Amino acid sequence: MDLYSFFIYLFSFMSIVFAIFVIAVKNAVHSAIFLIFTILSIAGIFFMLNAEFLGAVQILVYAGGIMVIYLFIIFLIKLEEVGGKRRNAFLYIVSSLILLLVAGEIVYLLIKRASYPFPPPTKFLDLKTFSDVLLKNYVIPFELASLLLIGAMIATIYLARKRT
Amino acid sequence: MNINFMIIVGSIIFLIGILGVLLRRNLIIILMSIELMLNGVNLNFIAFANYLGDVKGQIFALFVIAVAVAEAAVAFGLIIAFMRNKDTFNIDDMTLMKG
Repeated sequence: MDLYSFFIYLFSFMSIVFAIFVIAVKNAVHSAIFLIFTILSIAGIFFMLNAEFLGAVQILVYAGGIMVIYLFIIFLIKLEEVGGKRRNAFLYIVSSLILLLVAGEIVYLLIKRASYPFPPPTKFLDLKTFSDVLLKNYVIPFELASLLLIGAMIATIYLARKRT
Repeated sequence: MNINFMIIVGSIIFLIGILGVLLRRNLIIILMSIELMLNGVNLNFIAFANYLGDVKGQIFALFVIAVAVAEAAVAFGLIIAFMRNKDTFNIDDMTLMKG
């Protein structure tokens, strides 16, 4: 096993383990910290898969921006244990059934049914082709994404303002 | 890199996100589980972009990240608006629209 495969397996293992911790721990702050670790591991996989720009965006925007928003939410609310009644067994059974159904569908459709007739990559994925395609062929979705962000910002200000 | 391995890793992260949405009661952890699901989808996009040598997958992953930012911001506003009215974050208590 060469170093490349070793790092892919390491980052995949780390991301899965940290993702399990995200939904398993009780404290919401710990959950957010584990989500940051998951995102950093996935950024490592991105670096391994020739997506350097998206790895950097993942670290800067996701781990640096979105997670700070989540930590702000957690610090703004009163951090008390969310109590209430326990989930009953029926909900666990239904959840695991849904999970098994989706997992079986993914395995069946993506691995058994589909065939990938394409050869291994012939083109090299570098940042220059990425920016060329993004800013030439996909420039309208790019601008629409900025409209979406402005709309989200206005909606957040409207929702979070003090009502008089 | 074997494409089936990356599909399985992305699917496992996506399924962990589904499990978090279904089982946790804390609203914020449910939103974090949605982020996990988006990350699993992004992993598939990147893996196929690398496998096919096509850069379009990376572009869609970039748009997914942009939508995730917008979603986090709107969720922030919704949580603040909800905090003004009620004092809880247990989704079992969010029954205002129950008929």
